[in-house]
Amino acid sequence: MRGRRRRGQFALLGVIVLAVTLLAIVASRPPEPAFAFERGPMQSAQLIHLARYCLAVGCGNETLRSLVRDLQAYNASEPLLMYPVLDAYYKGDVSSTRAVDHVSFTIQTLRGPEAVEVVVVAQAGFVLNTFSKNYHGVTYILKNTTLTYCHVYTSPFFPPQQNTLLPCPVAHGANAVVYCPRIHDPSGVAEVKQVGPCTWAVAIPIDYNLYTLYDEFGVPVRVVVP
Amino acid sequence: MRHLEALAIALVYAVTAALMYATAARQAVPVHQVSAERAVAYALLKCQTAPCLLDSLNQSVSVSALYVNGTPVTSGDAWVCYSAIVYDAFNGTVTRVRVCARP
Repeated sequence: MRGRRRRGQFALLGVIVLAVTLLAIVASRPPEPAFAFERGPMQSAQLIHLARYCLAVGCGNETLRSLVRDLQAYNASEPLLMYPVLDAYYKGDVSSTRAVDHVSFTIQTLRGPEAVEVVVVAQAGFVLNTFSKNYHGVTYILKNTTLTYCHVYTSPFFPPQQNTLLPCPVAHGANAVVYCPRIHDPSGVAEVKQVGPCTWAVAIPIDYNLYTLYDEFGVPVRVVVP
Repeated sequence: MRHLEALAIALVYAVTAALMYATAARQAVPVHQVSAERAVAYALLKCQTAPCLLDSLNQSVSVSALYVNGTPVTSGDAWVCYSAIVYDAFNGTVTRVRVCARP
């Protein structure tokens, strides 16, 4: 009888200790909403936006790294929620029919170093025909060609895309966003007409083997006609 | 003694229920926040100028407060905020945009 009563007292003591512990937990955590920040897609988009600006103003490795340093300085005072940027590089390449600009960032995510990339491709076909055009009292001989122009944005945070129907002439993974920006000629001499997704009929002055148009982001579109 | 034990068990039951309620109340409201964050990401991908970005945000998400270069454009509760730096290639300006959304 005495032992049973003692066991009951121990059980009661345990229950009281548990109750006090739970009360302490409740008291220490006020019932307010907690916010979960998601930062991968926004940082990827911010870096892609920065890369386009770099291409528009004339990108080089020094310019790009300087822009990244400025962005990281903003990150200290603004809620950009950026992962650390470990490296950034730019590479441009012009061949006989195509111009490729490649900007790559390496960011330190929770999974380890991962890449955010921007590839801008302009690929021209052969000359189809020529014709003359009078513009502001000057006669130009223009040559017609087709141009395939696209931006490819790759990020580990972008969901898989359905890009297979777009005729973008660069290899890209499932997590790449392919975008076909609008293009124009600020001088008005060249003629530009969209004929399909990422595909344009362009007519540029016959004297030029490399003629520069611009896309909607201000990025130069280098048309290289063989 | 039995009454005392029953009272203690009832107390534990009540405290546990309170703890569960508090835990449920503390859960994040992820849909709105993610939509605000995704809206900023989408606007950054789509735009290269500040007016374009602001238009895109106004169309895609309900913001409670909006600041451009630290100046409030729409004043309200700053619950959860995201910032974007807009690099305008056409006039060379850099604009800080801060978007705040309610949970």
